Amino acid sequence: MKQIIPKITFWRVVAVIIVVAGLYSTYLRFTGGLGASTNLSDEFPWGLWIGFDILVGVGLAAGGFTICAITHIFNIEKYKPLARPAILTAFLGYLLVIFGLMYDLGKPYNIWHAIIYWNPRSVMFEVAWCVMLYTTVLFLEFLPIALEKFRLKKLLAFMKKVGIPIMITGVILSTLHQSSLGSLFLIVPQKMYPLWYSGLLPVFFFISAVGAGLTMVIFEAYLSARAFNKGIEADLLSRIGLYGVIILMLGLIIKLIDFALTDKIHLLFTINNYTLLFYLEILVGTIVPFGLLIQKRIRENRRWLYASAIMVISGFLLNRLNVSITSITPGAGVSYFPSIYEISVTLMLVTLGMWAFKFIAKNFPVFASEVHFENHNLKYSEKLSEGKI
Amino acid sequence: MVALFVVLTFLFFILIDLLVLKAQGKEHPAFAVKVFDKRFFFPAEAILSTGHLWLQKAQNGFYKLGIDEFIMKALGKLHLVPLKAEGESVNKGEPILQAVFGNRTITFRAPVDGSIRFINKNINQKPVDDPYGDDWALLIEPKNDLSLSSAFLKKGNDALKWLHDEFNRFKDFVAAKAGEPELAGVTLQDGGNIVEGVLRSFDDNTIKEFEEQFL
Repeated sequence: MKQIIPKITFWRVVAVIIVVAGLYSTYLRFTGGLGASTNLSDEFPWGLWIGFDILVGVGLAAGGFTICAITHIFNIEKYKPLARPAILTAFLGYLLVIFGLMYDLGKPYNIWHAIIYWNPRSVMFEVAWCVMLYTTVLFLEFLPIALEKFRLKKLLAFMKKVGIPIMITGVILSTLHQSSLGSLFLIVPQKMYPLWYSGLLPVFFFISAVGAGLTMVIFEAYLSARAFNKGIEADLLSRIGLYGVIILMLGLIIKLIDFALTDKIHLLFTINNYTLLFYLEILVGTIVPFGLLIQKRIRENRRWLYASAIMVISGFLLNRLNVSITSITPGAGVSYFPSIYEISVTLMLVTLGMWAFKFIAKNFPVFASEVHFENHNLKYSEKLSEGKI
Repeated sequence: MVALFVVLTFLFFILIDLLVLKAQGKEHPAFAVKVFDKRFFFPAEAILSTGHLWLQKAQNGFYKLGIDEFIMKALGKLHLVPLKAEGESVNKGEPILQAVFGNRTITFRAPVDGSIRFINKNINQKPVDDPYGDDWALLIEPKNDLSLSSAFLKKGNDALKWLHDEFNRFKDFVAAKAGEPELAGVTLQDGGNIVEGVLRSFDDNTIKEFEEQFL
């Protein structure tokens, strides 16, 4: 008999506690407002929800468009097993970004205004449209997985025909808004600590999203292997890891050249907490994982590959939160630390994302082996019914 | 400080997860041994011989020839050594290629009559990593047209189905040979799964038997 009540495990208990706490914080946020539930202020209007839920969430979902570009546009077939989990991660990631944004907006019920009241000069307008359109594209990219599951062959054939233009649209939209998230900070040069401010912020945001997004594919593959007791495509992942750190190193080199050209090199020798955080960010997120994954022996070792992915993601977290929070602190004149309610909402969003991924991956052909067996079985049963076997 | 707090929280959850797995007696995928499973890939446009060599049409009527993924999984890290030089001819069933793993070898036999036209220099320098891609072994010009009606050449789903059958046959072979307790520990982990490169754990006689039964 099918088990109705799920088995009680450590992580299920933790997840339920997180979600209950998050729901209470949600109640507080939407009944008491931002003042009652957050430590945000007029001096510090963007905190954890923007820094983590939006900037980190969107960046780490970049694995979706990067893998799509590799497999569907450049047609490098061997990476196809990574495409579906990456698309699903990106799709859920973007849904959570939109969901998370509702908490941060003072008047969330006006979120649709960007559709009607256009302000094409605003970077935020571009971000809003790109996120809306790209989430739609991600839904369309995910649709064949659902159509396969329900054996809707005609619709599936149609979606396969229009698949490439959809993927190309997705890559363009992603490129636009990954960079424009960086552009959001171009309007506050006087408020940001100069180590993180640069006219090239859009470029840095794009490059770091591509590098970290690829690494997120590795991290997600290990999580899936752990959750579903399945194998991992170690060969593919080790190459993806190498590409990721090369891209991140390229970003770091551009950053250092930019430092030199804008006379900011001296800041690297000014010893304070900001400089130390900056060094931590580039050491953990780029230099050390690059030094590790550039060596074939190390990147083919599962433990080191996993450790490097964790390092890159940690460096990426540091970077996005340094840009959005650390760098704003001296200019704002006040300090900020998220309230327990902000933290619990963020933890709840991550937990909901993981639950959704687990549910979909269990019920739809997301992983390559299932896709293969699904297609194989389908063809096999068709042949059987036609009397060809 | 918010940035540090977020990173430390992330690392804290990862650490707790490792401890939870340890307490449950389970292994994290990062620390797991690679399991030889049924998931195979075979290029749609290639044909597979029952000696675990594949052929794929290249230019001028030549065919690329290489080893399949099954062999990679059974032997683990290996180098390929062609047993024929460029320009030499080969008859079906004659030794054509050797896989070297550690200080041992297994020999593959030619699936067709033909002449060797080119040897891929890639395989001299590094172990096989991408068996259907960069690490093909040689270009062969078959004497006769290759026909799929021939029972020993398989394509598409038939090739995949055959690989699955081979996997099951191999699993039985390993189970039968893993009589010694210390070998069984190496080969039959995780409730019956076999690990990649399992053949390395066996003695020379077993390798020879594998060669006779599978190649």
